[in-house]
Amino acid sequence: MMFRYSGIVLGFFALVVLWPLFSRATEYASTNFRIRDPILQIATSTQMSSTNFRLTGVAGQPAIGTSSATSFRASSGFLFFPSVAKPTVKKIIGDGEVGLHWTSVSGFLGWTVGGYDIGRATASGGPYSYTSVGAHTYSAGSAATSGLTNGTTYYFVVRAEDIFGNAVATSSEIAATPAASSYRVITGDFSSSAASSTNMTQANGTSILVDMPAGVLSSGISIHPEFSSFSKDTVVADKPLPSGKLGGTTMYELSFFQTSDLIQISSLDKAVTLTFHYTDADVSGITGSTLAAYRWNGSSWVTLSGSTVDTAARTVTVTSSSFSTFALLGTAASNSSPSAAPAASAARGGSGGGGGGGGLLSETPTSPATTKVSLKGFAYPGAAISVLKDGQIAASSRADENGNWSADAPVSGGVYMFSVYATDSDGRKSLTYGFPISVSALQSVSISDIIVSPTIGADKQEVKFGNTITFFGYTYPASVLHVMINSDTEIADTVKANALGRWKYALNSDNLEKGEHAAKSQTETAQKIVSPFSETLGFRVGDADVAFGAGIRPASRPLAERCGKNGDLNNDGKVNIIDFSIMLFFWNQRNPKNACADANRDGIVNLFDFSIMLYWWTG
Amino acid sequence: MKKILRASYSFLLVAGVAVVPHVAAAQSLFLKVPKTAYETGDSFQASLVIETGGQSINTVSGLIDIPQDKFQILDVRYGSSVITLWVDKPKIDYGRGVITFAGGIPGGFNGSAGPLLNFGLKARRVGAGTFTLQDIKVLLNDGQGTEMKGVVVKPLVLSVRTPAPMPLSPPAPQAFPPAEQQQEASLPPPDIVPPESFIPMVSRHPSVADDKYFASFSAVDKDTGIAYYEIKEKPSLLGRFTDKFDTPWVRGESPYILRGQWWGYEVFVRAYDQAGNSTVASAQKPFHPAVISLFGAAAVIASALAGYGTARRRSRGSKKILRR
Repeated sequence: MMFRYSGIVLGFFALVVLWPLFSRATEYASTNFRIRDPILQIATSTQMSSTNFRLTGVAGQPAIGTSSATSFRASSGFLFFPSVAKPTVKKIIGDGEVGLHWTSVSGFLGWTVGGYDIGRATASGGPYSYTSVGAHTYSAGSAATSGLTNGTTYYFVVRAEDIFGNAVATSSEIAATPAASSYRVITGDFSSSAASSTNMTQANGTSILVDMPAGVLSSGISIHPEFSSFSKDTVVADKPLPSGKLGGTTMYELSFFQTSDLIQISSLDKAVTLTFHYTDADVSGITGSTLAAYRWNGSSWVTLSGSTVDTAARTVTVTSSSFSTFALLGTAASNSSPSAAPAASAARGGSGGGGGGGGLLSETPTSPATTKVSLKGFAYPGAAISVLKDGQIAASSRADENGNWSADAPVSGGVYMFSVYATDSDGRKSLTYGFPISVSALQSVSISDIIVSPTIGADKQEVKFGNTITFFGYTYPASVLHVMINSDTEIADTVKANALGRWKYALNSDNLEKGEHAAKSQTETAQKIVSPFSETLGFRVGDADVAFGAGIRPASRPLAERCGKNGDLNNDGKVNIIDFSIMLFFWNQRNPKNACADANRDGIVNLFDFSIMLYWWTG
Repeated sequence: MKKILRASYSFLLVAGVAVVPHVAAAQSLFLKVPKTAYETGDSFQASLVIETGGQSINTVSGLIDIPQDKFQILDVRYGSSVITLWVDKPKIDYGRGVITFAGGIPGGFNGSAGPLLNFGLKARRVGAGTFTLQDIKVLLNDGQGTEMKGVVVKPLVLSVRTPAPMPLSPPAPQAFPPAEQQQEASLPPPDIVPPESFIPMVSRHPSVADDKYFASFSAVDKDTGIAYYEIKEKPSLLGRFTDKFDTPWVRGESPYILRGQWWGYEVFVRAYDQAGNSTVASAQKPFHPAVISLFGAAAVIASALAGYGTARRRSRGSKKILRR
C-alpha cells in the first residue's frame, strides 16, 4: 500500500522542496482574461526525476478543480486528463474486401473502452463513415470492410469509444486497395485453450479447413488468426515454385498473432490440421495423386510430412505447427498417367451421373462456396437435436451413441440468434439454449462444445412426508449431475450419469418440510463443461404419494391440462410461429377465447405471456 | 501498467475527489452514439443496446423519446437485432417523437452489448437534446415472465453546434473539400439484400376466427428489418390454367385469415424489408374437409351413376343378343 502512494507522495514532496527554485512569474492579463500566480518551470532544467517518479513541465494547481470564466476555462488534476492509447491497425487484402485487426486498447484515469468503430473513406484524411463492430478487435463481418471495389484505395481508421459511445482514441490511417487476385480474408479472435474450426471458402470453390485442437498454446492466451487466400500468380512472383512442380491456382497465407499486442506467433505448441479442398479447375494439368501440401519457409517451398491426398474427395490433409504461405504442388499430368479428375469424376458419376472417365481433365461442376454455421456439442445418446435459427427450425440432427452431435445450418450472413434443444429417448425436451452468432458472407463458422441442459422428470408429483421421491432424466454420458432442490433450506447434491446418459437421484422427503418445492439439475462433463440448468420441476411434500400420470409436470406449468404446454396454444406439441400468431390474434385481449394464450392467468394476453411462450419455444 | 492504475486510484482516495468514471450497470439498456457533440447537418447512427448482467432474458419492450427539435429521425433498422420475434416492430411515431418496440428472443439472450435496434439521426438545431428510454420492460427467460429487477436506463444528452467557421485565408480548394463533404455521415450503406427465405404455415384452430384457416409467417431481414408482408392466394388445380381466380396481393400481418376457406390454395407471402427488397415464400392450404367430403360424395355418386349406366348398357346389349 505504501508503495502505491510513494510516487504521489514523492511528487508532492519534490514540489514543496523545490518550490524556491521556481520563479514567481508576472500575472498576465488582457481585456477578457487574467492568469494569476502563474508558476513557470525553471529555465535550467526541463524535468525533475528520482528513481520512481518524474515531473515534467509545468506543475500548476496540483489539486483537482476547474477555473472558468466566460471566455476561458482551465482544468487541472489528473482526472481531467484521461488517456487511452491509439489502436495499432493491421490489414490484409481480399477480393472486394479488406481484413482489419487492431490492438485492444485500455483507458486510464476515468475512461473505459467499450467498443470500436471502423472509419472508412475514399480520400486520405476523410471524411470517414463509421461502422461499429462492438467490442471486437477485428473487422470480420463488418459492412465497412466488405462490398468494396477492387482497384480503389480505401482509407481506414479505427476509433476506440468509451462505454457510452464517445470516441476516445483514433488510430493512424491505413490505406488498402482490394484486388481480385486476393480471394478471401478471415480475421477473428479465439482462445487457444478451446478447440476451434475455421473454414475459408473461395468463390472458385476451393477451401481450406483449419482445425485447431484445444490447448494449441499451453499459455491459453487469446489468439488472433489472419487467414487469406491469393491467386497463384500473386504468390509465385516472389516465391518461385520448385523446378518440375506445378501449383494449384489458390494459395494461402495463414498467420497467428497474440490478440493483446499483435505480436506474431512463430509456432504453436500443438499441430493444427489443415484440409485443403481443391477443384479440378484449381489443379488443372496436375496429376492428382502427386498433390502435396507445401509451406514457404522464407527462402523455399518445403514439403509438409504426412500430407495425404484423397483424389475422390479432392482434399489434401496435413498437420503443421508453423505457419506462413501454403500451396498445393504436384507434377504435371501426362496422357499416360492418371490424373486428378477421373478418380474424382468417377466418384461423382456414381452418385449423380456425369463426369466420366478418360485421361484428360474435365471441367466438372464445383460445389458453390457456401456460408454456413456448423455446430457441435454434447447431448444424450440418440437424442434428437433441433437447431433453431432466429426462432425457426434450421437443422435437425441426432446425437450418436456417445451423446455427441453436430449440425450445419446455411445462412446468408449477418447476426443470427441460434438456439438448440434436445429430445431424449423418453420424449422429454431440454430447455432451449440460445446464443448469437455473427457470420459474414462466404464464411463458415464452427461453434463447438455446445452442451444442452439435462432433461428432468420425477416419479411423483406429490410425495408423502417421509417417503422417497426419485428424479431422473438424461444427460451427457458419465458426466456429473448437480441436483438442486429449492426449499427453505436449499439442497444441492451430485449424482453421476451412467454410460447411456441416464441419471437418477432419490431424495428422502424427511429432509423437506411439507409444502411446495422445486428441483432442477445441471450437467458438468469430464471436460468441466457446464450446461445450463434444466427446467424447474415442481413437486409437493404432503400426506400421500401421487404419481405423475405420464412424463413431467414442472411447477412452472400451472395451466389446465387441456392447454398442453405453456405457449402451445394449438395443442400440437410444438411452440412455434403458429402459436405466436395465435397469441398475436388475442394480443391485449382480456379473458381470451383461447385461455391458454393467457399463460400466467392474469386475465390479459401481454408481454408476460409472450415471455413464457419464448421460454418453451421449440420452433 | 497496473502500477499506474493503482497510483491513479490511490490519488482519488487521497484527494477525496468525487469524480466517478463512467461504469456500465450490471443490467442496463443504453444508447450508443459515435460521439456526443455534433454540428448542424451531421448525420449519424444511434444504437439501443442491452447488457443483461449475466442473466438470460427473452423479452424487451419500451420506447425511445427523441428530442425532435434538435434531431431529425431518419430511419430505424432492426435487422441485426438479437430480437427475432417482434410483437411490435420498431416504428417511428413522428408526432410524438418516439420509437416504440417490443419483441422477444426464443431461447433467451445472455450477454453484453446485445444490439436491439439502430436509428439514424440528423442534427438540425443548435442546443442540447436529451434522449430518454421510457416504459422499459425486460423479462427473464425463466418461464414465468418475471420482470428483471434493477435495469438501469440512462438518458443520453447530445449537443448540436453550428459548423466551424471557414478559415480566414482558405488554402487551395483541393485541400479543403466543400463544407457538405466535411459533415459527418456515419450512416450505414443502403440495404440491397432481400429478406432471408422463410416458411409460412397454414393452420386453423377453434379459438381463432371461428376455426377459419389462417397463415402464420415471420421473415427475417439482416439489414433494415422486415417492413410489411403481402399475401396472395392461388387456387389449386384452377391456378394451373389461369390466374383469374387469384386474389390480389394484399398487405397483412400474421395471423392472416385466409380469404379462401373452402377450396385448396397455394398461399404466397411476400416479405418486404424497409428498403423495398422482397422475398416470396408459399404454403399449401388444404381443401376444407367439407369440400373433400363433398368431392368424395360426388365421386361415389358419379361412380354409381357410371356403374348404373354401364350395367344398363350391358343389359341392353345382352337383350339385343338374346333377341337375335
